[in-house]
Amino acid sequence: MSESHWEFIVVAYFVTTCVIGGMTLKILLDYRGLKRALDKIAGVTRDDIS
Amino acid sequence: MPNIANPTIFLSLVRRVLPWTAALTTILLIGGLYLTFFVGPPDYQQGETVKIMYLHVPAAWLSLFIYIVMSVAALGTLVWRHPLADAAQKAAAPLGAAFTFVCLATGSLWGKPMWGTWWVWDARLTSVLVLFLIYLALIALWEAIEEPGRAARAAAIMTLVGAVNLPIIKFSVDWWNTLHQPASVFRIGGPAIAMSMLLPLLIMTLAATFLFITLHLMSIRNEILRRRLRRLTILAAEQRDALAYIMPEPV
Repeated sequence: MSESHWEFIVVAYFVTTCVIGGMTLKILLDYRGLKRALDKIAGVTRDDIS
Repeated sequence: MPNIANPTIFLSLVRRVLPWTAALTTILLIGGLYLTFFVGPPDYQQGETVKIMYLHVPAAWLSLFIYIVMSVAALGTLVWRHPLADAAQKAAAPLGAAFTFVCLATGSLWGKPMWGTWWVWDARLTSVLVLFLIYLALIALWEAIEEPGRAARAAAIMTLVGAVNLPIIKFSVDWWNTLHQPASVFRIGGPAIAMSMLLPLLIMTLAATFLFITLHLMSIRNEILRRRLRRLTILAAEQRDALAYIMPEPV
């Protein structure tokens, strides 16, 4: 049986977690930013009309 | 069936579906990782290094699957002019790039101890690298063209042209002599992997697929909100101009 090469396994799982975790975080932060901007612009539009 | 072409109906559908897909992803991921690390046996040749397979194969599957989803969305944009098709296509590209990067990175990390090299320019590895570059080019194209309609049509055409790479990736290991092994899961005659390894692999693949569905729905939702914001910004600017015209500021 060959060596286990745990360092390669750990790095593979770490890289995957970073890439997919980072992608998920980016999507969530984007959503939060968009919601905030939409709420703000809706307020501005209401103020202009009134 | 609700008309999901309507963005408002689609958003309410996403709100209802997302908790379920996220929960299913979490359950499948926990189950898949448990089977990978505590049940799945080491390979008789590769030892524990085979555990990289449980990341590499799902990522490879998604890199192709996401491109197929984008190709269908591209047809939706060009042929059926579905209002959400270009949003679905745009939202999928970064996810496709991310999973293809994971496929390349984990393949390299698996290749070094098994083949003795990080990279070879064989047909399978090179064609997947080309797929990664196509994803990046599509993201750049979306960013480069300001008018969303034109960007969507250009990206749709490029996506359909790039789809020629999919059969090359799939059959590269049959058409050319490659260091990469031939297909061992999706092949005529059934999988060539022992059930004790196939089960965690299938569960991890299913988890990755549901993860993509979850992230894709979230990204489409963001894209719809981004367009709404763009529209409202233009509207607000027009309203300001109109008010300034009716009630000019005193000099």
